[in-house]
Amino acid sequence: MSRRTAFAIQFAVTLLACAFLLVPAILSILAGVTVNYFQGILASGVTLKWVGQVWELYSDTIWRSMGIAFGCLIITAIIGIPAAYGLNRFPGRLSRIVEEFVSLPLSIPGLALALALLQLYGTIKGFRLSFWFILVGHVLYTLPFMIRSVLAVFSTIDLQSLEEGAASLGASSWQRFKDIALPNAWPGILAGALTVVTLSIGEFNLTWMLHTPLTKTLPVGLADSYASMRLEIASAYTLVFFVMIVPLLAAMLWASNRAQSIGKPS
Amino acid sequence: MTGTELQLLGCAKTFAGDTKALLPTDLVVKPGEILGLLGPSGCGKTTMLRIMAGLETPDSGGKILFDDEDVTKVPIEHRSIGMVFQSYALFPNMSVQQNVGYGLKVRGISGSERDDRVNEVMSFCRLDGLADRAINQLSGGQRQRVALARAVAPRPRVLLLDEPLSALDAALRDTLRDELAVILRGLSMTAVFVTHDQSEAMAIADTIAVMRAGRIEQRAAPEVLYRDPQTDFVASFVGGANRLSGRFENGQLHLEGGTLKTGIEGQQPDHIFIRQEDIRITNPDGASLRGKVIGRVYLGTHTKLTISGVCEAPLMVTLQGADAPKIGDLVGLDIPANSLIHF
Repeated sequence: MSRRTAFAIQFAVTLLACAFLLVPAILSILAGVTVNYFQGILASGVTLKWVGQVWELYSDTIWRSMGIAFGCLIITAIIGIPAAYGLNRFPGRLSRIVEEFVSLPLSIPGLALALALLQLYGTIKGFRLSFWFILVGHVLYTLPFMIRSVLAVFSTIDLQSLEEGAASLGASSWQRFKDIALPNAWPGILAGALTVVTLSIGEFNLTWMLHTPLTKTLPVGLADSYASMRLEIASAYTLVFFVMIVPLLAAMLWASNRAQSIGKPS
Repeated sequence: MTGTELQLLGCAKTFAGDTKALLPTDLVVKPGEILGLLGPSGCGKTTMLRIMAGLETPDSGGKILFDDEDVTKVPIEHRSIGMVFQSYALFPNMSVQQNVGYGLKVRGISGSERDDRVNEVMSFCRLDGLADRAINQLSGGQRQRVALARAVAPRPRVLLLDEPLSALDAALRDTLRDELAVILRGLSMTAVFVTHDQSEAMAIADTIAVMRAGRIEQRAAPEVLYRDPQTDFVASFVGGANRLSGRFENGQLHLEGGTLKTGIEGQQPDHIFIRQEDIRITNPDGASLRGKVIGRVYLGTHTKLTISGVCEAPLMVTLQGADAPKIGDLVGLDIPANSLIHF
């Protein structure tokens, strides 16, 4: 087989794979701006009517999702960054156990986690009915991503030597955390933060179990619209979701690339 | 001389699992003295340096004094030491200038006073023009000088250096070794540095403490260590001297390759050594000591020969110039009695 043929075959396979992944997404997005999906976009024309209706019907779920994602970010940062710092600072068997324990929610299906939360806290009415209940679930689920992301950066920069260096220059433990650990872990914190936000916005399993009609999030609303609305509205909803999530994903990629290049010559 | 006197009194260090990294040790470093801690890896030299720094605490009973102040329980950040780490541990999130100024910043020295001192130290360490560089834009030698400048900028009482040259290329190391020696002398600060390289220790230190297995074997000026080693370890580690082992009888040493007149009267000494450069190569005919050249390394200023058949271990000989015998040649060896080291 000549190089040209080999290249052509590889190219065709790649195109096919891309098409397999992208065509459904594109169709769905197009459906969201089509006047009548069953007549087709060419016959019936293009409209933003459905997007407008989504906004009318579901804007509360979008705001709620963003609020929960933001709250989740704050809480995971406040717990996760010092936790990762501590785990790095005092390595040992106990730290390993804590690390595994924190990661446990990842290996349990979201439904089971939600069930456990419901069993334990379901009777506390005010809590059960508020968006805080969902927030707690999201924090449980996303915290390991923040901790691991920050830990990974700490382990690439030989934090112990840097801290000893700062201590030898007279820096207190708070100054060492603030001046050395935090700025050098920044790419990891950023990558972790974006992962947390993206996961929280897209989380369905757990949220579906925990939500009430008054605390729907974006993915729950999406499922709701697929089940009970016109296909065009559900598709327009998907479009809105895409517009929110794609920039986040791009930023996440950029941040994790930066995190990996830390310490290397620029 | 200015500077702080550093004293260790009965300092030992036992790590978990009963590993004795350092046996109880007394040591005095005079104000302004540059002390080299020399020894193979695992000899306890780095542990000793970390005890001085406050990164390790000595076993109970050990004491560290800076002048007359007992600093044993003072944590590193309040000990006022400067430290140059093996990896340099420069802060990648700060520029060169910010690295050098960090010790002043955490002490609350700001504004023009800080700038002046940073500039002064940077030009002393030949870092002019590099102030705004990022750490990852520096060469190995520049990093080393930034680490040194950062350590001395807050005017520490004692300067501690952990293998300051080992992170550098071999080609660069010799140049930077001499440069470091010049800078350290210029500082006239009490300094202790750790190294496993005897030429590095000799080039930089006023006195050298040769360490092995958690203890100091000998502490002396470089020339004394070289000319008058007190233990067999010092003789072979510092000077690379050859041990002559054979049967001793009436002042003569009977070796595999012949007989050597030692001029030693009375009892047989425990150890007899001869330095590589004190052996002369002669014609094998009629020589009282003979061997065969099995290795020859030409190094420009001198040639290193390995000679077998003289005693148990091959004999190492250093000759000036290139006019040396070839591999496989039989040679005679002239070992002057007054060059022998024995104890």
